[in-house]
Amino acid sequence: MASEPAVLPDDALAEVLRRLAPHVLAAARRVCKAWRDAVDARLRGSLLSRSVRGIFINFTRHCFSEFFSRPSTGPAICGGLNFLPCMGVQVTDHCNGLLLCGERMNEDRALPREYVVNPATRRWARLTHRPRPHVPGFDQTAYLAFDPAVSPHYQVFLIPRLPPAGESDDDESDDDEWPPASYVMHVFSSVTQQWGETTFLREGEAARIVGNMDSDLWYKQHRYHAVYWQSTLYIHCRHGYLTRMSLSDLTFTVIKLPGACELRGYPNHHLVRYLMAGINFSFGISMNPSDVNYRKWSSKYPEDAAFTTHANYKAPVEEKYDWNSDEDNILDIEDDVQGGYRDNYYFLGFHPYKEVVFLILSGRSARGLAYDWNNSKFQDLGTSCLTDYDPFNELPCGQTDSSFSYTPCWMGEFAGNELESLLEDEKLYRKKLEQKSQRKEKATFTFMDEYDLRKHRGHTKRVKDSNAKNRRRRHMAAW
Amino acid sequence: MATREAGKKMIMLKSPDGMEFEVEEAVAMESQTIRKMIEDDCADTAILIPNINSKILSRVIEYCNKHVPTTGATGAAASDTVAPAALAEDLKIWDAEFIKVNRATRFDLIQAASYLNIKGLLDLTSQTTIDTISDNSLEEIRSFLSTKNDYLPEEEQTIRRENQWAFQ
Repeated sequence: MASEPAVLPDDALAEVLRRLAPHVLAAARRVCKAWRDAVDARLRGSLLSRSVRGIFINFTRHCFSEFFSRPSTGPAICGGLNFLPCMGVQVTDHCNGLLLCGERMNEDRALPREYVVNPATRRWARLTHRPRPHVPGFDQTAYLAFDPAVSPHYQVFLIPRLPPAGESDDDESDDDEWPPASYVMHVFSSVTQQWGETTFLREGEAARIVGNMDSDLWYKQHRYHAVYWQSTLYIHCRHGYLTRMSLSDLTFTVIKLPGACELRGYPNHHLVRYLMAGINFSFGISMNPSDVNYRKWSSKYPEDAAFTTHANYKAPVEEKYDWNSDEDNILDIEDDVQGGYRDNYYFLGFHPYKEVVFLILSGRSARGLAYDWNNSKFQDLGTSCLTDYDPFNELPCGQTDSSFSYTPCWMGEFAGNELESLLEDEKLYRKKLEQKSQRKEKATFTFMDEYDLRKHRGHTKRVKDSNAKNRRRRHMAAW
Repeated sequence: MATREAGKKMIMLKSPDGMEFEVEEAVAMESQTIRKMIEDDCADTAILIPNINSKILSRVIEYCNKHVPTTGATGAAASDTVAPAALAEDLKIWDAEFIKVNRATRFDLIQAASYLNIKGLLDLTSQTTIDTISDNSLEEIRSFLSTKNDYLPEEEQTIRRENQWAFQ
């Protein structure tokens, strides 16, 4: 055996490759077919990084999401998402390295479009427009479900949400149970590239009767926090319950959260997954200027109603801490640590794999902070002030609506439709130009227009090849 | 099952080329695969280890002997007198010496560690390969590991595009 040329058998090869950093593993697919097959067959899950490379933040009254990150040694993440063919987007959900984004500004005043984006590999897909809600008056919130370890495909779920109390004129519906025993929702599948309908059947009781449903006014209406884990989507909604939707057998259960009333009034409830032993889900609260409060609840023991106050934290003192998030480079924090902590903490999110919470400290200069729960230490992540921050705006700097801890996924496969979308854009653009020239009655095809069109075509051509193969794969690939 | 000293079970490991190795049960149980066999009572007489020749198997046993937790009657004295940090340092030096082997042997060791499921040995033996992959260009990786680029030009093109981010 030792005299033969050294080639590792599949099992041993997979064991070695499994130990590589996710982006190195992704690049190692190029070495030879055996390696590519080893990665695709059993290591796809290892392409998902377990370190938080940055946080997408939606600051209050800002149209576009900002990417708050620190310099790192790995390949750069294009957090600005400026490779998307639109003016800018707001991130509305994140799941295992993929983002769901909505267009915020649109030249043509057309319906805003939505994208599923992998910022690491710069691949994207434009979703077709959402179907209308089943029940008029009910709005829908979209959530991503994606697990690279299971499949390279993703789904987007549109979850109906109750209109705010008092807005519904229909008195009859007030006696209905919510969520209904059969919950019909629209689902976008990247396999078919279309929206379809899926019905989830309820197991167990409903949360309440619609008419008695009170909601937390502080809670951001456009957002229910959700977590996707092991083919199950956990959605925390503002009526204080958790919906556990099993995508494998299309059932859902309503879990009434212990102490949900206590949580009311805190706009920053968060639901998070911990992969640590015994702790599956946690809620975090951060509101008070002087202390950070954190409670956790384990879904393993839903009967155990006790929320435990995990820590009560006083304002940090000036000290350098040795905690670091996955050996990323740490910014020097000599400046401005003292005296800056006087305003509000906003909750940014949890580290999905560690007992670490990310906070933002608003004030004249907003700063990002990481707090390690196990050793009760803060780390300064640097200033998170917007570059175009307007000091005359009455809002304190750093006030956030929502935010997403981002873990990159270096999976090369992606059900994107870049080419189709760009061709469509080109067609629309041509049409617009034609209409314009017709309106002016004579050909006013200026040099500028001609130039724009050529530029557009060039861009389309560049992505053409890379997309042809994706379409081919989509035909072959099974969910 | 042979018993040499009171309280110390011995296990017989057999390589496919007919060599037999008598090792303490605790040492053999460093391998999760063997541990499972013992726990499932499948290890009455001798355990045949397929695919691992006697030369490699003896090295694996050498590693396990060194790395078995020193909690027994003999180990207690050692852990009392030597500080854990020093012990760990000692092990590190021993490991570095242990892994000074040619590539073919290292690959055999990786294979053995993977089959026997010995995490520490797998970490140790695959580290050089991991460093090679992490720090070198494709061509260098291929020549180091004597693998061939067997992609068709079209496939190569595809996979290059999938990794476009690496060049931006």
